[in-house]
Amino acid sequence: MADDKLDIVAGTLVLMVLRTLDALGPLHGYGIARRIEQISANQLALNQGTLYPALLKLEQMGWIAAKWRPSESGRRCKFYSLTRAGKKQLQAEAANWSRASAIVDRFLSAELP
Amino acid sequence: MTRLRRLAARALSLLHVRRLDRELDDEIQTHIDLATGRYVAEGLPPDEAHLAALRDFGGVAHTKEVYRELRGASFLDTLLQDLRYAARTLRNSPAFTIVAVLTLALGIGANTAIFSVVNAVVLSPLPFRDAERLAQVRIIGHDGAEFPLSDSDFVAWRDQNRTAEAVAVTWETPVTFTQNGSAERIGSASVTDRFFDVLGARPEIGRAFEAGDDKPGGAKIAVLSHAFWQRELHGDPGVIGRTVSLEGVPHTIVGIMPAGFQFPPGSIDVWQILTMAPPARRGPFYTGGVARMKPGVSIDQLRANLASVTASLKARYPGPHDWTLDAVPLQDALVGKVKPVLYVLLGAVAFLLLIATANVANLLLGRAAAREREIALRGALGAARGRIVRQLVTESIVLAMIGGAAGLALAAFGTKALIALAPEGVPRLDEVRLNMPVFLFALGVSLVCGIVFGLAPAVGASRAPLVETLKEGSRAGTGTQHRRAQRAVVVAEIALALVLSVGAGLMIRTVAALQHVSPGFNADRLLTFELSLPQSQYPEPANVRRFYDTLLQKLTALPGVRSAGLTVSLPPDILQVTDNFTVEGQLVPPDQSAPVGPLVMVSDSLFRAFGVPLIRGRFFDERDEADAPPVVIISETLAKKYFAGLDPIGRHLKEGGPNRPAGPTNPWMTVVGVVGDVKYSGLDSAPEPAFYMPYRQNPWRGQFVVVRTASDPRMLLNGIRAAVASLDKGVPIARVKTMDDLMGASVAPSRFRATLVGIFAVVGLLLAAVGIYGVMAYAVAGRTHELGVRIALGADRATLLRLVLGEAAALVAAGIALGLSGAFVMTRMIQTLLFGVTPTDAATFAGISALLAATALAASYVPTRRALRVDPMIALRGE
Repeated sequence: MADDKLDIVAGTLVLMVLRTLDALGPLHGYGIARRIEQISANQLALNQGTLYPALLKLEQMGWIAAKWRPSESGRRCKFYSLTRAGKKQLQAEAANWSRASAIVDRFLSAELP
Repeated sequence: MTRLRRLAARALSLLHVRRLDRELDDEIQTHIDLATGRYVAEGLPPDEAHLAALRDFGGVAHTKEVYRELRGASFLDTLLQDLRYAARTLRNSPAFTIVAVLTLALGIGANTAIFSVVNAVVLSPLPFRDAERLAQVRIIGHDGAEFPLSDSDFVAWRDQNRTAEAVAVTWETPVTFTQNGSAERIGSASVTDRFFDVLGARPEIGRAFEAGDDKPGGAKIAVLSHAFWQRELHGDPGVIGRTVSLEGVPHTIVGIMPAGFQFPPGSIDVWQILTMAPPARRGPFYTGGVARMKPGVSIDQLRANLASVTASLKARYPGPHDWTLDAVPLQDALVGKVKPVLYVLLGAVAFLLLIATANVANLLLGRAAAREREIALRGALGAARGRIVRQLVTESIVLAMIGGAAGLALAAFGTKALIALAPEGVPRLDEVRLNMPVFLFALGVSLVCGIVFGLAPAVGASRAPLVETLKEGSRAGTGTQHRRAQRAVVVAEIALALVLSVGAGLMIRTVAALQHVSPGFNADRLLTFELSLPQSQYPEPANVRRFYDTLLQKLTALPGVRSAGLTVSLPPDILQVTDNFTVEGQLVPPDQSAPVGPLVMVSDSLFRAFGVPLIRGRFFDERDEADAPPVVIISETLAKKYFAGLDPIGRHLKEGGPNRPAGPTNPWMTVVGVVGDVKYSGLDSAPEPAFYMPYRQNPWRGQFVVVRTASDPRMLLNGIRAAVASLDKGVPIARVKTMDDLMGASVAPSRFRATLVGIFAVVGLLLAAVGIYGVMAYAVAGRTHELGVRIALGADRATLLRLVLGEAAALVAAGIALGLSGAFVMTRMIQTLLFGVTPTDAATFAGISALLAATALAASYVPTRRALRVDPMIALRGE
């Protein structure tokens, strides 16, 4: 893996998955992975496999729901979609993230005394 | 809510782990296929595309594992893993495992054995159909004493019964069974017609008694017990319709009851019909009532019904009114007396289990200390605290289960021993089984033990601060937390052992006190047996007199026989007759009962044969012939209590109270003598106002014959049998016993309790000693370095010994103080089982405390001594 790729920050994968499903509607695992790669323009070192435990956890939390149905190609896939609770969680996490990153930004841009 | 949902999902996923695994495989396969497809579309050759897809995915197996862990399939896996780990750990420290398992097996085994008895005797329903609807009916006197019913009581009850489906009364009396010329006393119960309906019992063959069978002048019929039928009639089903000879009278056999049917409890061989005499007067009182309540009727409703019967009886008959007919559930009536004893035993054995559990907890604490580093390391490597606790608790539960299994095996033997040791008269012992409730009890006890003794050290261990523990270096197990916990456990153990031992001490003193009670006569070298002359051959008092007078002559003439006598009641436990009595000139208020005391008919020679002291006047002699003026001899207690300081000799006394006026059949009797008190109601009974009438004036057919011999009374048995047979071969000799046997049997229940609790106490004491030994050994081991330094610096070993033992002494003192206060409370609960010693007997408390202190200090002395003997150089280098 290329050295200049970013390690994924803990917790942000959840946010990315929720946002992806919010934006694109029901997707299968590979779809989600592709979308994250596309948005990050291949700058994230994401092991696509780690996505699946994350999806399971989100499902257990009740933030996303999963359903087996045929894809456009006719193959049966497990499609994930955002639930109402997931939508709320996304808003909360997005707000948190914005605040946190704003704070970090301010630290980084602050003048040395 | 989410937590609940997550739990539910985890639980559900356990059920279809396989399907979920397959779905995950599918999902990942789809992912790889789609990714491969994209790379192929981008122009890579298929195999390279596949590799690229796998690289992007990053470890399929790892993903699956993480996924499964998260999904919850790990629960079973973890359990299996923990079990395997526990088994390995236990196997790796066999000494620890063996000691812990044996300790637990003792505790759980003893508890299971006692519980199996409690379960069978007290908790299980009686072996009758709908047994909870059965009730015993009796008379309760003004002082709460229970009395049997009279015929008039039963007839009035039967006629006014509204609450019971069926009612009956029973009267137990042994009868002479004659077959092929040989006679034998067998157990018999005479019962009214609905008896078998009341108990809901069906015969194995033939028929049971039916309504109307007890009409006066009805046929003489009998129902046999299964055991008697097998023993005497070889189980021949053709006996129905044939006859058996009871008291010389043929009775037609109508039915055989199934094996296991026994009522009244005891050994009934045959049931006969009891015909109610037309109630002319109220009395005699001799039957026990039993009722099957209608469905939905409560015992209180039955009582209310009996209260109205009581009222009608009081209206009809004059006399005392300080009594009432009363009912209790049959189960309470049968086992009520042994219940408190069994619960005391269960309590005692529970103490033993607590000590055993404490000991294993102690062992585990010691081990946990030794494993502190292992556990800290696991924590450092990322094991969650809950996970460590769970693993340690799994280990202790495995330990407890092994202990429980061994305990169950022990209980199988223990229960047998218990039944063999049990004194006579404990009901339902034949129903004791190691059955499902007992098994569940053992399982439950094991589980609780495992959790209790496992949780404390486990939580303590997992909470230990990682860094410090790891830093403590090679000095294993200096965790002060563990030391404190271990000390607390040892204090508790000593306290528990003290309570148990004090209880045992009091019970042992009770036995000693009972053995020192004077029964009122000389019990050495006495042989006793019972004879009963059949009415058919001995219809008149003269016939009876002739038999017994000749027998006494023959017996006295036997070489080795000092004297012989007759009595109808046999001390210390067989009291056949009690009656009211009235002292002349003493007024009893009309609504109260006259005083009651043992009434004993005796031969002239009895008091001398027994060695009962004459206090005033004379014994019976030839003057007291059948036609002579009636005479009576009274006991010292009767003289003191009812003659109020007057000389009773020459004064008068009669049977019965105000409702039985003096007359030709109930004459005033002249007091001719006062004799010492004799115990007829058990060695622990209070002195009773007994009165004696001469056998010459009242020759009963049934007598106890008492023979005083010069040497071992058993040696004379053949001569005595021959003497009886020479008079009449058809008279069976029953209940042949030496007085030593009877006195032993009288103490047997107390001895049994004392033996059991004593065994529990000794085991408890040993376990506590092992506990303090372990703690001290461990404590001095931890201080080897310090002690070594002190010795090297010239400290006196004796001083050091005192120093270390001082710590042990502080623990022991704390335990004893705690135990003494516990014992003060607990021993009050066994007050009713004690005799001749108070529940707070100072000598017992002090003696047991000293014993415990000595044992505990000895147990701590051994390891201390060993530690101090170590060469200081070795101790120092050991660091």
